[in-house]
Amino acid sequence: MPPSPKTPPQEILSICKKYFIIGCFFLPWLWVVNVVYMWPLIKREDIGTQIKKYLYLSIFGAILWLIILTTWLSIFVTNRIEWGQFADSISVAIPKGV
Amino acid sequence: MTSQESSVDPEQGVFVNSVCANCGGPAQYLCEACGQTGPRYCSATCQSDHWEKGHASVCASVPSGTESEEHDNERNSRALKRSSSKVYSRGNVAQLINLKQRRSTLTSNTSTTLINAPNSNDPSPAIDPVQADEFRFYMQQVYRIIKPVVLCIVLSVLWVKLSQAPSYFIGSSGPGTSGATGSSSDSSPISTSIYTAAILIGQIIVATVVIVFLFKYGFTKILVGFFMFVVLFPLGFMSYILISNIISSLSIPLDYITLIFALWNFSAVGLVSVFWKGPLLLQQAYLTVMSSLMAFSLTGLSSWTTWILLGLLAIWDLIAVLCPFGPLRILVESSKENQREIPALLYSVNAVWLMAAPKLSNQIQPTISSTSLQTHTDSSPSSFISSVNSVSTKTSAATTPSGEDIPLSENLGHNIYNRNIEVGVHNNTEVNNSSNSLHTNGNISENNELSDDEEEDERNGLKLGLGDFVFYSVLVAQAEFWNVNYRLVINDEQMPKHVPMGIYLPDNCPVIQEPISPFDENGNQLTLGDILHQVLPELFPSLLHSENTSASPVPVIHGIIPQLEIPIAHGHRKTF
Repeated sequence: MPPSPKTPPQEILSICKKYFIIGCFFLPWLWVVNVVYMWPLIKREDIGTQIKKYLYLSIFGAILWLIILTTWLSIFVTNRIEWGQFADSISVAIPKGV
Repeated sequence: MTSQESSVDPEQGVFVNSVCANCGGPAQYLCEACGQTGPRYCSATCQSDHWEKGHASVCASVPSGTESEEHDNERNSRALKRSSSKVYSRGNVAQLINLKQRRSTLTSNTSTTLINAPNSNDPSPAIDPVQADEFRFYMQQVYRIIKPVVLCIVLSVLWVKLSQAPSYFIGSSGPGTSGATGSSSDSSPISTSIYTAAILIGQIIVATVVIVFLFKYGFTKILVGFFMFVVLFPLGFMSYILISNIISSLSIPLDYITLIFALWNFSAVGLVSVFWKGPLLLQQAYLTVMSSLMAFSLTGLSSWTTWILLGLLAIWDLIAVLCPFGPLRILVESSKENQREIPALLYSVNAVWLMAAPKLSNQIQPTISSTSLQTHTDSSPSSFISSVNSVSTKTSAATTPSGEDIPLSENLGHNIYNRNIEVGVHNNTEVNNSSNSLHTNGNISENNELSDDEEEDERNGLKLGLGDFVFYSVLVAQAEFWNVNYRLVINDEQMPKHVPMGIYLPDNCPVIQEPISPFDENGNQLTLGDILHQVLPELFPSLLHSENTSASPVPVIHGIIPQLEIPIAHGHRKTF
C-alpha cells in the first residue's frame, strides 16, 4: 500500500504535504489516509524529517477531530430529547416512540 | 547441446548473460527451446533476425538440433514467433506474459525434457509446467477480478436489504423504499417501463457522446471536471440518500451536522483517491462502493424498467464498441491518435488488467504480450507492483511501439481492443509508472465509467470497467429487491389461499392455530368477525359484529384492537 519505492522522494514529500493541506478543510479522514499510506516511509527512505512532521501533524489532527466528533455525537444523542424543537430540526430522522 | 554462451550456470538458473545475441543490447528474453544455454534476445525482432542469421540451424526446437535441453520456465521469444501465426493458442500467449512474475514465483527447474519438434503452430503438450504455470496465472487474475465484483454485488444487496427494513419512522423513505411499493404493483403498464428505460438509455448515450466529443477535441479540463461531477454524484448524493434510508430503517438518531461532515469526508477522499494519487486499495474500495451505490440507486426503478434497461444497455454496449460509428470506438481511436489519456475511472488491481471479456482475453493477450515485448525495458520486478497504478490519470508519453506489425493486424474482429492495447503499451521511459492509456470498456454505466487498459511491464491482468460492476450489481440487487420468495407466496394483487392464524387465549388455554381461507364458498371475503365466530362460537356468538357489549371479548393483534370488519385477506400484508 505505501507508494512505490521508485517514486522520487520529493514527490512523496509533496504528496504528503498536499494531503495534509487538503485535510485542513475539515477532512480528518484524509489525514488518517495520509498517515496509513505514508507511515512506512518514515523510516524507509531518506526523504528527510519533513515527512515525519506532516505525518505527526496529521495524526494529531485526526485524533483531535475524533474527540470533537465523539463528544458532539454523544451530547447530541443523550440530549436530543431535551432540546426539543432544535434537535428535531437537525435530526435526519426522528425515531418514533422517542 | 547448443551452447551459445557458455558462461551460464544452468543449475543456478542465473542469467549470467544478458546480452542480446543479435544486437548486443540488454536482453531479457531467451529462446525457450534452448533454455538457459540458448541465446538471449531483447525483442522479437532481434529474435527473428537471429533466427535467420543462423539460430534456426542450431536451435533446440529444430528436430535436427539438440536432443536434450534444460527447460526451465523462463518466458521466451520463440513463443512470440509462434504467436505471429493466426492462431493464438493459450500456450503461446501466456508464455509471454509476466516474464518476471514467473521468474519470481517459480524456482527454476532444471529438468531436462525433450521437446518433440513442435510445429510452429502447436502448443506445448498437455501437462506442461509452462501451461500449469499459465493456468495458475489465469486463475489468479480471474480471482482478482471476481473478488471486487462480488464485493460490489454483496454491497448492493446489503443496501437493498437495509433500506427495505420496515420503517417505523416519520418521514423519509427514500427512492429505495418507494420503489418497493412502486414495483410491487403491476398497475404501471409495460409501456411506461419501456419509456423510462428508454429515457435512461438516452441519458447514457448522450453522456457517452458528450464525453467522446470532449475528449476528441481536447477539452481535457472540462472532461476532468465532468468526470469529477460524475464521481461526486454517486459518492455524495446517493450515499446521502442511502444513509438517510438506513437511518430511518434502523432508528439511528443522527443529526445533519454529523451526517454532512461524514459525507463531505467520504466524498472528498474518494475524489482524491480516484482522480489523484492515493493508495491503490483505497481507490479500489471507493470504486467498488461507488458502483454498488449506483446499482442501488437503479433498484429504485420498477422491475420491468430495470430489466428492459439492462437489455438495452447490453445492446448499446455492442453498438458503441463494435460498430465503426460507435462513440466508444471513436473514443479509443482518438485516444490512440492523439496519444492522450482519457481521465477515467479505472478499476485496477496492482496487476494490470486486460478487458475482462473472457472470450476476448485470448485474443487480446497476444497483442499485449508482443507489444510488451517490444517495448519492454529494464524494469525491476515486484517493486513495481503496488506502484503508482493508482495514478490512473498520470499522463505518460505514449510512443507508438514499433512492434505493431506482428500480431496486431491479425485480430480483425477486435481491432479496437488491439489498438487499445497498443496504445497502452508505451513507454520506453524509465518512470516507474506503467504506461497509461485508457480505453473504454463495452459496458458503460450511466456515468460512463471507462475502463483503463493500462499496460504495465511486469504484470498483465484482466481489467474491468466500472460499468460491469454496476451491471451485475443491478441484476442481483434487483432480484433481491424483487424478493422472489415473497412473490412466490403472495402478490399484492392476489389473495393468498390461506392466511395462517393463531389465536392465543388468556389463562393458558392452548393456542388455536389454523390456516384460514380468506374467502368463503361463495367467494366473499371473510372478515375477522366471521372467522372468530367460526372458530370460537362461544366467545363470539353473534354473526352481527356490530354489537359491542362491554362484556364481549375483544381480539388484540400486536397490541392493536382491530375492527371486526377487517377482511382476513389483509392479514398477509405488512401493514394493516
